[in-house]
Amino acid sequence: MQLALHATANMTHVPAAERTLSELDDIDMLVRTYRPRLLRFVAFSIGDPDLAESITQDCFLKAWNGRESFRGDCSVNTWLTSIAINLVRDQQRLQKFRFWRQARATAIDITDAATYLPSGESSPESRLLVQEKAAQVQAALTGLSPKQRSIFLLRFTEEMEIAEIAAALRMPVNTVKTHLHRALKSVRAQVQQAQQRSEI
Amino acid sequence: MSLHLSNDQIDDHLIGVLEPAAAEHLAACADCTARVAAAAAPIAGFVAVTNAWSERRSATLPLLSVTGNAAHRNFALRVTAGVAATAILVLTFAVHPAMSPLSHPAVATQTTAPAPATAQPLALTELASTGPTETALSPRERMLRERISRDNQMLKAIDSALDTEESAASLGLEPAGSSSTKLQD
Repeated sequence: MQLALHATANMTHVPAAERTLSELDDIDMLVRTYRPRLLRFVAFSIGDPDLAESITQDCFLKAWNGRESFRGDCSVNTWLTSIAINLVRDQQRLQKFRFWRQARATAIDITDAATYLPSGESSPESRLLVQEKAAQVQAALTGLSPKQRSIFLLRFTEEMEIAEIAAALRMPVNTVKTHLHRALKSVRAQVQQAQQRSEI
Repeated sequence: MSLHLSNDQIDDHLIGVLEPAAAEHLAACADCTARVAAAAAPIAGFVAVTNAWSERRSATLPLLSVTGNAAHRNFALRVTAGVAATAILVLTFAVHPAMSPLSHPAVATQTTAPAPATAQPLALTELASTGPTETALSPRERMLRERISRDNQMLKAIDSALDTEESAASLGLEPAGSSSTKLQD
């Protein structure tokens, strides 16, 4: 029975594992594919783009060094994200008391970030509106706890499923949902307040 | 479900856990759809901006640094390989005197002065001086001795080249300690 289960598991997992292992072996491709999203997650988690670059780099190094230990029971994205989460957590522990003060000194300028928006079909007015809303959300994110902020970013910017977030954070699904509800409620409230202020 | 969505249900929808009955209402209700759109717009804007930022920022970062650092894992292995490669090179020069860099005319012309007798091919002098005691040395010790000997010879060659009157004169300099310190035109 156990053998049968093992065989079935192998049958279902081998192609994915082979695919992911080959994916992990090609470090350049791995970096090209996953760096933008990891960089975004780390940068908006800690608020410092330069430090985020360094952490993202470390994340890929850790993944590369530990690729043998990747079992293929989750996606590469989830695996890399969990490594990034741990590195962000370590960083936050290191700078526990002076973290945000320092982060603000080199914080991401969302206005500057908005200049990277593809011009496409959007008018300058709509781009300004997007920029303003993005700045409101960014400001609201700084008021969240690190855990809530991470979960918010994983769900909305990384578009990870709740189960994936739970796996990456090693947290029960319901706990993730609770954090997400609180984070969203807080962000929405702060954005609403900012909009009311700007209307006055 | 006839009631409009509550704020919590709007959050549920944004999170992706809205109940089917509420989802049905949302699909049919323009008012709730507008509220959901208004709630989602700031987040969508934030996602768009951060996405554009990270794509651009990531594109400006080098790939090689990661690749190079990744090899850092096998640092010890690489150091060993480097030492082995150096040993092979040294042994090659020792066995084939014609391949010695010091015996190559192109290399010899790189020195500022004519190469003195001490700069003759290293391997020849070393092989000539190799006595029965040196043959008993291990390859590593022999390699180290050869390297030290070669470095010493090179330093001697440089010293002697710098000490000659010709080289000083050719550079328009006077020997140190000379009473005349005027620069030549």
